[in-house]
Amino acid sequence: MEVVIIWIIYFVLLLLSLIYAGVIIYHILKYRYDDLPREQGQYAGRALALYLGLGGLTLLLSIVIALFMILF
Amino acid sequence: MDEQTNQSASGEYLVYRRHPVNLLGPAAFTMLAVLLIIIFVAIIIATGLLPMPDALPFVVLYVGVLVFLAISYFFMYWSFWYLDIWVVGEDKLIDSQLITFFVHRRSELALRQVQDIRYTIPGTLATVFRFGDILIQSAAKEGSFKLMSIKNPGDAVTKIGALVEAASRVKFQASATTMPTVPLGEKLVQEGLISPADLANALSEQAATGKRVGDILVERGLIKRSDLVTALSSQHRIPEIDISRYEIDKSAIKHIAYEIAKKYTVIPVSHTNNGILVAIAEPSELVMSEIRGMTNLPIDFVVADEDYIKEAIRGHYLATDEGTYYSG
Repeated sequence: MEVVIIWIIYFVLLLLSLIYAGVIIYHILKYRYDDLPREQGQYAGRALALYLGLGGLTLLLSIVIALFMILF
Repeated sequence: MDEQTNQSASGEYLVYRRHPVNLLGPAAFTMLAVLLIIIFVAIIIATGLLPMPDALPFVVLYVGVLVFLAISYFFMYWSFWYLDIWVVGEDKLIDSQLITFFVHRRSELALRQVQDIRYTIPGTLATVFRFGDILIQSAAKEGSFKLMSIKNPGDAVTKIGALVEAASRVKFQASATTMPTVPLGEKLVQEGLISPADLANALSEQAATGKRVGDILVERGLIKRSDLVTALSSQHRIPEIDISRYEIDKSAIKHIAYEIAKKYTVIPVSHTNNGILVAIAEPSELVMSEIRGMTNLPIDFVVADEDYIKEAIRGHYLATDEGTYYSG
């Protein structure tokens, strides 16, 4: 039972953090070319890619390591 | 990155954003959060305080999400900082601010309406990192614009001032020919504020009573007085101001006599670089030329609400220290 609760809390936390990230991504994509000069808009796009890469890698690594520990 | 000069098809423009020192707080908070997570995990592993024997994979999963949240927190602040900009072009200042998520504010100010630019350096941190707040005061109904935490504010004020001066020169040249090309009534119809039938009725009443079309339409409740001011501004191609929110420069008042101010419903509101800015209720070439001739000063005109001008005339000419009014 405890394990189920921990899994549920984890998935809720993961969902909330993904929604949070989605809102940030939405705003960058929406406003980066509104008033920013083109090259600054492109820079914002690169920063977004860096954030997604770093954040995604963190999540993915934690999931892979945890799965590895559970399975083996 | 906090200031950049760019070229567009129409010319040079400046982009300002807050000094990067504003990101120090969120960056420190993020690093502290990650550090605390690592210390917490290290402690519970080292001391064997795990709630369940096989809880280590869950610790890893939770650490992954929490670190991801910490990174997201910092990136959110970065995006707010990066997307909050002030763009100063050849003819306008754009204030584009992401206030919170889903609340974006964008304001524009014509540079020719700028009356004063000043800056303050608020405190020790600002002095050390050489940034300050720039206040741009305007005669426009948009009021003042504040550019916060701008790097080297002195240089920025000089650059913006040069653009304002250039825009003002263009305005002064343009202001010599402000003959309306479209009658006021037609302008209001074009802008969809009244119907052609409303205009026809108003013109009939004008023929019968001699009142002005704009006043008739306001009296009938078909347009607001602010619509009338905007239409006059557009018709004569001169800026409008909200005089009720404008601090009138008392030293400018003396350039136009009370009798003239009352007769033509005009009031000087401030000094410009080499002349004065005069608010007028009913712009016309004849009146504007006459006032220019009387003062021998370069005069920039702006349109303002007639009621507010009358109130300002009463307040500023009749309420001098001596209890008399300025008379030419």
